[in-house]
Amino acid sequence: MSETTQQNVIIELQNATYYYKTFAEDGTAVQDIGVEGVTLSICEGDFVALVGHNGCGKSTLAKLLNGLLRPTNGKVLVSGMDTADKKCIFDIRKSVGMVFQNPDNQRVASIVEEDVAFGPENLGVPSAEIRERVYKALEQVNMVEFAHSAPSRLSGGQKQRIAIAGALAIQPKVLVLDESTAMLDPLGRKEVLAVAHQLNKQGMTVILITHFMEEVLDANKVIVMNNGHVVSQGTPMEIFTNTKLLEEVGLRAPRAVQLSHLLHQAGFAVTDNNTDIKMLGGEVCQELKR
Amino acid sequence: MPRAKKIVPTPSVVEPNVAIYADKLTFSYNAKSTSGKRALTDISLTINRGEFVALVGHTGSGKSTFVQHLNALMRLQQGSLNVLGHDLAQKKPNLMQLRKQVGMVFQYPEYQLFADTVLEDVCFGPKNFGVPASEHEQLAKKAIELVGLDFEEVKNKSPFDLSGGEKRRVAFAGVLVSEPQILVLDEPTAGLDPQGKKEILQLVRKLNKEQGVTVIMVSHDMNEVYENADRVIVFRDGCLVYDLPPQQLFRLENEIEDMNLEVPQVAAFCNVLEQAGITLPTCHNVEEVFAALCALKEGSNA
Repeated sequence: MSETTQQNVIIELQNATYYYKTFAEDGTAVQDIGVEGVTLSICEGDFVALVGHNGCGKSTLAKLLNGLLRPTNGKVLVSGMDTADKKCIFDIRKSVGMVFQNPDNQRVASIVEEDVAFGPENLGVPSAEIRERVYKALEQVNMVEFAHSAPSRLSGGQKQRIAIAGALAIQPKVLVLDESTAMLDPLGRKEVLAVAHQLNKQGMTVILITHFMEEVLDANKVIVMNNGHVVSQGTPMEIFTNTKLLEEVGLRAPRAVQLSHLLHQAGFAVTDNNTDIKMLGGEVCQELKR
Repeated sequence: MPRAKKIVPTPSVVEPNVAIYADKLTFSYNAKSTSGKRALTDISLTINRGEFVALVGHTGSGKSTFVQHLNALMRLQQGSLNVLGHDLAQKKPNLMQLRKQVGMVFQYPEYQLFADTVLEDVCFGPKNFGVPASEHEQLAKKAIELVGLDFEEVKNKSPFDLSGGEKRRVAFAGVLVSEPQILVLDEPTAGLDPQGKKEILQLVRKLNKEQGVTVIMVSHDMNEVYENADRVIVFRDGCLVYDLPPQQLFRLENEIEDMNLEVPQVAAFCNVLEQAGITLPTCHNVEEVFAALCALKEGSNA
């Protein structure tokens, strides 16, 4: 981890806990764990994948990152600002942009450019600069040609890229994608992921919440959650080779990794934990033809 | 484009083991206006009872429009369609009977839960299909247990207090309670975690293999399609372009990628081996491939 020590920490969670208040059948208040005792740090320029089964606390964690939820206990710091400090909340939300699962639920205007302008308008950015920001954001997601289209007529992937542009127009340092690819078809997913990686290359910190293990492979760090707790952190390979952990949290390694691992263990001369199924196929051919 | 409707009654030769028979089915949205958009063109296919068919294609390819014909949510405009012996060319087919026999599970079906309790929600179908009230609870119990939930535990709960995976299973139970002969699933695993996906697919396979339910599954996940379906139908721009078993379809790697679909991992692996002259027996998943390879290696060593 020598690489990360040189990087600046942008998001820090110190023993962060969030309980949802719910009511039992007899009317007494009960606390439901959202996340509990989460301590972790995310560095500038990281591409972090956050995984775990439905209801494990991923989305709660995401909402803690920009103060949509404030921790019941512990602290969440964004660039050193405490999300519990009401004075900082605007600056925090400017630093952490979020895109959610359903593109149709996060649309505010009937024309793409107006929709993207919503964020900066609310921040009181001068109109000339708004224009500049909107077009820059649309450029970043490769959607400039649709500036005057109606969002309702776009495909899922395009809508989601518009939602990302809306977040970018606020010029955040961190982009949180909370299952933003879940409802898209394969092409739409590819488009959104390509944009996320392109932004990351330009220096954006990206936090990707996903159920698609194939999307996790390209992250530089994976955080695994289970029942509100962070149960493991590591590189994709460290996580995907930990079969015991995967089983416990109900995840599965990408198929290529699974097959190469099985074959390697059974004494085949193949690269262990290979993510490239075709390369694995080639190796197996060599082995069988000997 | 000719405006005249050409609805053709299904020929009487439709065999009793045929679940769905379509011939030159064509459909346009806003058919009467000049801006009418062709959604389906000349779809002809026959699906037998007990088949597990995956329906794939890019967004906007016509998959949803097609499946909505199967229980007459979309009415026939051109061509012929027969579903479980119901001729949909007729002016008044027996819709109640048809909709009971063709269960439709839409995308994110948990968003359609509405009742105060799980029991009420699941009983909505039987109630509306005129099943006597005395039988409701028994039917609901059967359906809820079928989807793997504890009937006594969930029956009086609000469906909104359940987890995402449980909600989806309650929504499934609400369809299965009517004991449909055809089950149409529109992306049944979308948004679920890997474990939830596995459970839903196990349930669908069980219904198909053990109870003989005909399954039509719309999916964007080609791995899931490969590992579960016996037959894959590909739609493109409203036309049926391929109708093949998955093992044959996904050999066509270039064509698949041209359509912006993915080649499943297991298929990609088998394709590499095949090009090198190594043919494995039919393998559906990683475990089967592993077993086949071990057997091959053992054989060559012996």
